[in-house]
Amino acid sequence: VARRYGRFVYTLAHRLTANDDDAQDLVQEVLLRVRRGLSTYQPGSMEGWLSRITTNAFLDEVRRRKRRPASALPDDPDRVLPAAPATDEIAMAPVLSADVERALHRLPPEYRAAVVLCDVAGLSYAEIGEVLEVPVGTVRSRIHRGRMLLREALA
Amino acid sequence: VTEHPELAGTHARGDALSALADGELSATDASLVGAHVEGCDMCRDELATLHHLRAAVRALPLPALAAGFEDELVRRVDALATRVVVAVRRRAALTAAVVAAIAAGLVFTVLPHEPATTPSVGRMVESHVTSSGPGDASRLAPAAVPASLGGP
Repeated sequence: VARRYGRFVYTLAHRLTANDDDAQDLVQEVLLRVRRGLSTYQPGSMEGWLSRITTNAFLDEVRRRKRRPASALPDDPDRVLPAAPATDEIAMAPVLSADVERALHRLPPEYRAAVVLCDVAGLSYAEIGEVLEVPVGTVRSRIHRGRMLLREALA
Repeated sequence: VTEHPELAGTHARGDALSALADGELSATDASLVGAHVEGCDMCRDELATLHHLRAAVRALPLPALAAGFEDELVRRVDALATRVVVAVRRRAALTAAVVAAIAAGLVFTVLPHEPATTPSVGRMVESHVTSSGPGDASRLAPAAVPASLGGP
């Protein structure tokens, strides 16, 4: 069980941060927060609880780094993605995992978090709304917008 | 005619297609958007692309864990899991204690009123005697049995 949850947190952290070192740092932070937050744990979805802690720790770190421009992350939310190709230029040919990973990591953090929580953590829109503390309608538009940016990046 | 909120002009809304792919539309909306997709090439292609993107992200291989880090991670998660169980049990015990305390509180709140609502006959008589004098107390004695009802 420990291995499964450890794996779950690490995979989530890796999808969010895009590299081994940041993922390991994020996992350390998550473990600290889990320890501090034991009193708030409600028996229920362990994955949901861990997803919330991991995502919040990730977004906190993104905000912290954003306040320090010298070490801005390459995944700065203001970073401009390449201009979208016209719809008829887009063909979803088979894509390589490495390309998908790279495209995922280029998404602005809020969109990436929504897509990762949906497609990696397997949470419902309602659960994602609780994790990100936004309405379900916002979750829905972030997931869709994130997928559209993925499509553009993979085209 | 008011347009359905999941449609935009002659097509389905993009986020409605994503929600459909994720199984997040209500049965009614899923049926409406699904029916539209059936007859609309553009929306059908869009939905197929969204399914493709979902599948591509879901199929990403698990990231490799650095040697030693996984064991360390498992050890620490294991230690935390024990703490989670202890915390949950402690909270359950605390909840039970609070429930018991509330129940006990209710009993103590209700009980003192019981004698007041059901005073003993003796106390009623005593109170009456005190307030209206001994003469009146005799009126509380059983009336004499009429002679006609007496025995032979």
